[in-house]
Amino acid sequence: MTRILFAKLLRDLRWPLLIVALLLGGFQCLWAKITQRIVAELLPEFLKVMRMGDLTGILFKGPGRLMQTLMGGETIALNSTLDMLTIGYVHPLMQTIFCVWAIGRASGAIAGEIDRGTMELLLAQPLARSRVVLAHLCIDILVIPILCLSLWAGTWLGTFLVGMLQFNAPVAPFQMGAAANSTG
Amino acid sequence: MLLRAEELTKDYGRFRALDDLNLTIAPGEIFGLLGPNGSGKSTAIRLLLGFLRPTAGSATIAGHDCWHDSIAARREIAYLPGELRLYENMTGRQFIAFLSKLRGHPPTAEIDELARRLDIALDRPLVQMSSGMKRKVALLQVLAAHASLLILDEPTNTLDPTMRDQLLDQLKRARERGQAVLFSSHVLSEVEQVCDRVGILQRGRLVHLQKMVDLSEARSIRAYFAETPAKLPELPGLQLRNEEDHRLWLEYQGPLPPLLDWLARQPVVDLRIEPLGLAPIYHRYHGVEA
Repeated sequence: MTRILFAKLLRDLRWPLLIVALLLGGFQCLWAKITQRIVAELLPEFLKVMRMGDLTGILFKGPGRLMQTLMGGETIALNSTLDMLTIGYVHPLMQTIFCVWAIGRASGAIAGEIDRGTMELLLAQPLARSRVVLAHLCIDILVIPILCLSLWAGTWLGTFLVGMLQFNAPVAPFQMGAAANSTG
Repeated sequence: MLLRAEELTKDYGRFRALDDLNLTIAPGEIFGLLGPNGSGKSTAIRLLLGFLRPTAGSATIAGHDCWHDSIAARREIAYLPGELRLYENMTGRQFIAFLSKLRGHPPTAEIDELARRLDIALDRPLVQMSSGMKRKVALLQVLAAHASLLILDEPTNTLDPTMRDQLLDQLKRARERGQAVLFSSHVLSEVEQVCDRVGILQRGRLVHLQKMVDLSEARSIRAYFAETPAKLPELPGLQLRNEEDHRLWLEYQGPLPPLLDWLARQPVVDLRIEPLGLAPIYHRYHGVEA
């Protein structure tokens, strides 16, 4: 019975899930391109006129420190491809999409069923209430990894398309960290 | 007995929604639950479905307690809610298949036969169906479930007269198959048409139980006399309901000839004899005079 409910809930969610997964994956794909632009094209130009430590000092000064914390803290290296890619995972747009998804699921699952008036029909069947809750939990256990996978798939596709993983950063992360420490 | 409710009571805080309901329904019986809004019909149905925990008393369906063994009890029930909300993103066929699978009985070819009889386009999305058509789909699901007890909460709402007759016909067929039916309604004529017994609820109490077969022998007599008779004949089952300006309104349950003999000796100007029906009984509790 849980399986039947699970299949029905998955069917109900398939379009929102597809749209959100495409949004998340698409953003990560785009973020890979942004990363490539920053690390491979913009940063080398900046480094022609200033040292890495000076640049991070300017960017993360004052309110910028908050941005640095959001991006991953003091160990974040702007010239590191992998560090830049991780920023895509904590980007406010990602957080917003996940929040909207979580709120939508929380309000649309059990409460939504009651609100739409379909719960009465469902509970009139020979079905334990716990089964209904279990089916919703199973959906979340499946759907959340799917959304995470869509993020990784987006990153993978993006890096595949821009060929970034072959890119050699102009300054190695440890050097940048050392530069940052020396300035800070 | 298929359904047995004993002193079933439900309180919402200080408000008593259902008070000491004692009721039995046998297999192959159609029972009508009558009462205005707020009389306790829906509370009684919700208690039977195990949605609510009784404050006192108990109800069993096929021996299964409606609260403590509600899943087994609901296996015996097919339910049509009064305020119908269906999964609008499904087609009629998907909806029937979903609920049938939940009951553990995958849909059979009988569904198509029933759909043809009820004139339902099963492959249309529910969102594109009218409210009457949706009700027919839900009714089909109830009939296809082959449950021992069909509970229908105001099933003829939004149905056109033809469909209403078809529904009542389906209820009679269910009775012939040995299924019991409990249905609530505001429409007395349809209750008279199909029910074997009727219960009238008033402020949560079952105030009247009526066998319809008894009612078929009862008559309402409205007679207009040139001069009001001095006294009524002493016939068992004869009651004076109202007297006004040489007009008598009588209720009579018994053989007609003795009453007709008496009437023939009176100065009758006009006379109307008709089956009593449920209306006078219902209005005794819920009419203006009640």
